Amino acid sequence: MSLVLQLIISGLAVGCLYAVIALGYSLTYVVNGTLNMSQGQLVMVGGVLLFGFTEHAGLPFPLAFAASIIVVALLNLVIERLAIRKFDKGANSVEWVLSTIAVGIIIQDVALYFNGPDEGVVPSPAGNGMLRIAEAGIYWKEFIFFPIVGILLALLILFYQKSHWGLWLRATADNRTAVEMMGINSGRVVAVAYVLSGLLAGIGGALMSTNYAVSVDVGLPLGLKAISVAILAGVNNPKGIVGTGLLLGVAEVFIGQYVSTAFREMFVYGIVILVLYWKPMGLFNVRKTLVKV
Amino acid sequence: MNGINKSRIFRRSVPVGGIVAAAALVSAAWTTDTYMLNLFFTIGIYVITCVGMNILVGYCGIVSIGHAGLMAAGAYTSAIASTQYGLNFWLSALAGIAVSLLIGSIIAIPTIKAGGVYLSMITIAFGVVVHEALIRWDVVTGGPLGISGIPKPKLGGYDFDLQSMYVLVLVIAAASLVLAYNIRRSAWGRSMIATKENEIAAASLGIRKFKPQFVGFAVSSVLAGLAGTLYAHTNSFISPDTYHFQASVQLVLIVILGGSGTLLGPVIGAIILVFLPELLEMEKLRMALYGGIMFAVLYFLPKGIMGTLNDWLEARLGLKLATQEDGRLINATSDGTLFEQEIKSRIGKAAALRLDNIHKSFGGLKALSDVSFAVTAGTIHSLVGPNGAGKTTLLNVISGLYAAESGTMELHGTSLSGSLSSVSGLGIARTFQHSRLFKELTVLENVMTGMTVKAKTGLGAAMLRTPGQRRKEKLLREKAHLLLDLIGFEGNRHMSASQLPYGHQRMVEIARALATGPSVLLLDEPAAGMTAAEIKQLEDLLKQLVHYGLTIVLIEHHMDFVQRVSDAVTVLDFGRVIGTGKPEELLNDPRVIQAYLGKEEVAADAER
Repeated sequence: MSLVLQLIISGLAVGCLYAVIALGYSLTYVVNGTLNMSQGQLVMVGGVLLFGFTEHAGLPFPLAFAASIIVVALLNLVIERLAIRKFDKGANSVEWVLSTIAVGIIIQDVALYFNGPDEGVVPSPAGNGMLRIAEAGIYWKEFIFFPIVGILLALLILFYQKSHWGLWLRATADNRTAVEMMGINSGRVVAVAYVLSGLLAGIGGALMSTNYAVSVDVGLPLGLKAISVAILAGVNNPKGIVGTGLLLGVAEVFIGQYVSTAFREMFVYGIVILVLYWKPMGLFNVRKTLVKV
Repeated sequence: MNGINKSRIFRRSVPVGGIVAAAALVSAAWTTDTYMLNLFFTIGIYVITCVGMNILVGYCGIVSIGHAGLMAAGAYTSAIASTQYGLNFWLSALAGIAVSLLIGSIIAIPTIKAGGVYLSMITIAFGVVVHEALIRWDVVTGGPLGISGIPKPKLGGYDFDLQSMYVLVLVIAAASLVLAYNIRRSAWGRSMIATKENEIAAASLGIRKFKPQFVGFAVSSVLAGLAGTLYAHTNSFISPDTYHFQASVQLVLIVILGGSGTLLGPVIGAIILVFLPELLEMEKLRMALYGGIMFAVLYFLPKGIMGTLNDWLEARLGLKLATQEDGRLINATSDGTLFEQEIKSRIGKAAALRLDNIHKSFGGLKALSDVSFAVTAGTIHSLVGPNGAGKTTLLNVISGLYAAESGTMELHGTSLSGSLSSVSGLGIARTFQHSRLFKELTVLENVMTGMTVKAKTGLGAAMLRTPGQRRKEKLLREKAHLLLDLIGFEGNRHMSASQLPYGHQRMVEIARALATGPSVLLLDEPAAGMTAAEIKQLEDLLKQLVHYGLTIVLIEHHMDFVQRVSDAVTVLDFGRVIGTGKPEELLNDPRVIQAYLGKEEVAADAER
């Protein structure tokens, strides 16, 4: 019983990360129908930077944490400017898929060049202590994910509901033309969405590096996992993404424990493909189909 | 004249150049060293794979970033079949191709339906999973060490060596280029491009997205699997390293660098990407370089090298590597007999179209309420009403694009329902408020696309371009010419549709709709944006079509035009029918005038 509880808790911790990263896709996708296919690599950069800042540069943890996520957010702003804006030409364009994949490859290879292939874990400020919940043991550094991600989501909701940027983001997601007619520069709204998405990627990566080993090649599989979450939930459904992310995290841990560690990934992607057979637009997609072609 | 001459010389010089190049390439097998030959061989393998990828990316608009996984499927299946089960090369290669096709189909079916970015994501995930599986499933795949000792093919008493494998790959690469060229020139290629460019317009011609796109994916899976087996049996050793994510990206890069949708693009792309690392001798940052090239291509050469070159040749020298032969079978005058027969075979006796109590709302907005009227066969029936009256919505309901909430429709006495593409099959064709021509296709090809469903082109016949297929294409071309004659199109019919002036685009769209062989034609503001002369031409055309027995439902705002051409008019306002009757009566009805101009006090209010 305690094992099951323990598995659930570690699954939820991983799931938190998936949810945060996958939300990054959703934030931009609803605004202009594009997303950054190199999101996974950005997460990696967040993790590697935190490791570099704390271990090599010797910065204090809070400063290093803030610096890493800000760098990633700014990086995503640059990506929006260079790889998205020019190629965002309506629903059928695929150039931005290619351009952001190219960005991902470049980021990963440059990171490899500077960082090398080694992996590292940042000592978490939460320490190495154990928390005991009904005989299940969980590390504090893992448990700390829950309050942090919870606060992060609350802040995000608050930002969307209360700030004028949040209002503009929601408005642009609804009808970009109307927003333009109101005299708002929707290009800047898109840029803000990308900065937010970058912040999420940076926080996800930095958090991750406090509990899991991070190397330059974790980005791609992580990004894909998060994309699977977004696909399963429907990219335009943030609540569904959080739920699905947590669920996937737990499912993965259980498959690893009771079925096979080696083929864990294949199970996950197999499920994604099966779901797409059944519901091509995701499980909880909120868009209704209007036209019958 | 000069341009045509040059063009002819150019076209004749192409086969000659091809033969010289082929001879040089074959002789390379014995004139270069093993190292060089291996590079040449690699290029051949890439060409085979990327010709398939090009069909997928260039024609279907599907960006798959997992095709290295399909190559792996072919390579590993064939390797295992020959090393562990002792199958000869030809059988094991067949097994490899079959497995690649099977796996390709499994991922294609759900992802094509989901489309767009979902598709790219799933293909990436697929590639990553295959790579993982190759490493982890070591009892079968040999794990990270891979499989070695894969035998080279034997044929009769002959043992293939690197030289003869290279020649074999060369032949297969050339064959796959021909295959791609044949697909592009067939109804399949046109359907692929049509569904890529405009799914709704394609559906209005009865072409559903799934079939051509699935075929594109299947063909590319077969070619990837084939290339994989050829590589495995030539190299005699394979390992997971060859099939990682970056390899899939490299395949896409070859296609877009060479020029997606161009015939020779994959060849140029493969040559550059194989030789570039050799020239640069880079060990580190090689993937970053590829990423940089990909970025630069997207930025500065969006059409790739061959696409840009083709444009340049066309603009500077008036040369065009035509995808379509010129020349007509018959220099027939446009008496329209061909067309008339086709229409007459479809006309029923009853009222062509009958609508009863149609309701349609969007959320709380009632776009159509209780719409009922009948359209007599062989007449022009106009729908008029102020903006937002529900005219286009009604057209969308009739053509199947929208489903009505309630009400019934009949076409020639039988119940009418279904999606846009199935309604097209029942004999209703339509145009759209804004031009939806397929811009990458020529004017002639646009019209030919309209005949896709009826022509029923077999995939095998299209790929091999059998004599029967050639005849069929000639007939389609001829019919398309006749239709263009009918609408009075006088410009260059081999020019891409994107270059047409707006008024001509509208006319060509009508010809394309007619190509489906409809009994009812729905036109959504055809005269919008036309010059007075063009409107006159349109008027003559519509009258002629009705004379042939076609029934036309027309939305139009030019009231004098409506009055001249219509046999009957239905006036809509706020989604309701105000009246149906003869144009001269109805258009002077006070209620109709009020609907258009508003009541006096309302108008005064608005002014203030």
